[in-house]
Amino acid sequence: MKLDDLHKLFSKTYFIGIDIEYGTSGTFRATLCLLKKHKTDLEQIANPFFDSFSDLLGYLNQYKDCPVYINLRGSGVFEDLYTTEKPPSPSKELLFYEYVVAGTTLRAMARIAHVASIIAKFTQHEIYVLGVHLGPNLSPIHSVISNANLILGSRVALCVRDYIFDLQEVKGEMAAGNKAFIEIKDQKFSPSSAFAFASALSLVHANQSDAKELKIITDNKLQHRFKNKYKNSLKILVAVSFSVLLVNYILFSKYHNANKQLNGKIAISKNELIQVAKNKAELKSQKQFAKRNALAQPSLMAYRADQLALLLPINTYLIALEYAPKMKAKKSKETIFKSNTIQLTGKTNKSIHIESYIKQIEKLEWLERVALESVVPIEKTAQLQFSLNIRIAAL
Amino acid sequence: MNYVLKYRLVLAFSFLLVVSAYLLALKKTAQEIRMYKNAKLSIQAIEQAPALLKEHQIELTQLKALIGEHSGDYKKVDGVFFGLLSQLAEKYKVQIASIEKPIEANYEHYKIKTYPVTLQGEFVQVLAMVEELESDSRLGKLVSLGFSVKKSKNSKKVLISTLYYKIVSSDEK
Repeated sequence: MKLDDLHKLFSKTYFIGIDIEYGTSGTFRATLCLLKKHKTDLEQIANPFFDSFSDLLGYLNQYKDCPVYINLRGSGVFEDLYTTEKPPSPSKELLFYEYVVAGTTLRAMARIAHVASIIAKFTQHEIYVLGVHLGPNLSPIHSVISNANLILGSRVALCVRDYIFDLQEVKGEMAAGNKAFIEIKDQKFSPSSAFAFASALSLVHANQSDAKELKIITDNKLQHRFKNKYKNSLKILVAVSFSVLLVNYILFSKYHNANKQLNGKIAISKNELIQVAKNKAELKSQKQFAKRNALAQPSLMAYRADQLALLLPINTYLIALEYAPKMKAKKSKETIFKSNTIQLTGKTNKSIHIESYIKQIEKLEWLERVALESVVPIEKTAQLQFSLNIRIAAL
Repeated sequence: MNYVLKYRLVLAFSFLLVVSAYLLALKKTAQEIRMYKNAKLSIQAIEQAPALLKEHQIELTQLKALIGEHSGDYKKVDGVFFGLLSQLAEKYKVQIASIEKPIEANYEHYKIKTYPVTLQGEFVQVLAMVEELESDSRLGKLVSLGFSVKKSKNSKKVLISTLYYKIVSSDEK
């Protein structure tokens, strides 16, 4: 299993979406949505509201390892850009955001420095914002909105009736009087709650990069990923080290004690072991000596040579017979004999006699095998000289 | 310190921990397990020791009998062998053509002399003589026997028999 897969196994399944709205007079309103993922289902754990940044940070401190997605609205975010107007020309200082909701293109923009400064406030407290959205975050939830009335900026209202989306231009006084709401499956939500929920959903579906990627977000993603890896690695390291050392300690104690007892027993019977080893070595040495000196078998040379002579067929004679021939020792001074070999040379007038002789020899009980080495005619005679190699079976 | 660095430090520390855990703990346990297995084998050997000793003793006795260790004085062995050979040659009417200088060798506590002997005589007579030589293993053991037909000075075919007789004696005596 790869390390990354292991980390995923230990990752938490909480996701936080926050809708932040700055008022023109410096007021702060934040609605948070805490989602928990259970295999295939999602559960909203909490949906608190905060009117100060410090309260929000205080709450987030208990969920420091969770990824955060923020939705920015209000002062500093220009939302009054819609399909009828031309999009602004690209600028390095502006974060421009365009999205389509049910065929309606909505746009918003803000200064990058403004957005980055808000994200940095979270980062300072080790809360990593992994995605940002400007204006009403509707994309993740638009398919489930059945009824809604939203004021976008100061000039346009978004009305949804039975899943039909419609943009309407409204006058300022009308907008103020119109209460904004979002209805999902007969449940009415405030826009902030709905946007916070949609932001948390953006994280669940790994949809963090809707907006132009900011450097601070890229850095946060890296830090968040490695923070999780670091914490999981520490946990795994501690758990595995503890388990391995504990098991090792148990095994060591068990075998150490067992060895102590066994060694005590062995010490008492040490002489017996030494004697056995000595006898074994002596036996081995004697066997080697007997084998090297052709002494390992009882001597039955005369008897076997006699048997070979008696088996000779008619008109067949022995020329030479060597029982355990002497080997040519190259370096050693020892005389070595091939104790299991008989080299036999004979002569006959018919080759059929050789075959018959071999068949007779094969019947001998002490024989392992017999091989015909050569048959050559003897010069100036009608006779054949043959040579046999006979291997004696080990006892 | 950022988390990328912290994570890398944890990985490096894990590696060091694995190495040190192996050297300081796991290796010693493996050693104890090995010692335990050896000790078990030793205990098994101790339990079987009396039977093994008996078995080895029997095998050794059989082997020594097969080797045919000479029990007499090693310095006088040449004379004893020549005496035996002459006696048998006379009995079976076989002529001792030659006895070469014995080949001497040592192996551990053993002293070995190998006598090359050449005989001249009838095949049946030589076989009878060799059979008697083999049957008495108190002196030594016949380790090689050869027969070949050669022409003598007067172009008459004669049977030459070559035998090697080995006498083993122990230093311990």
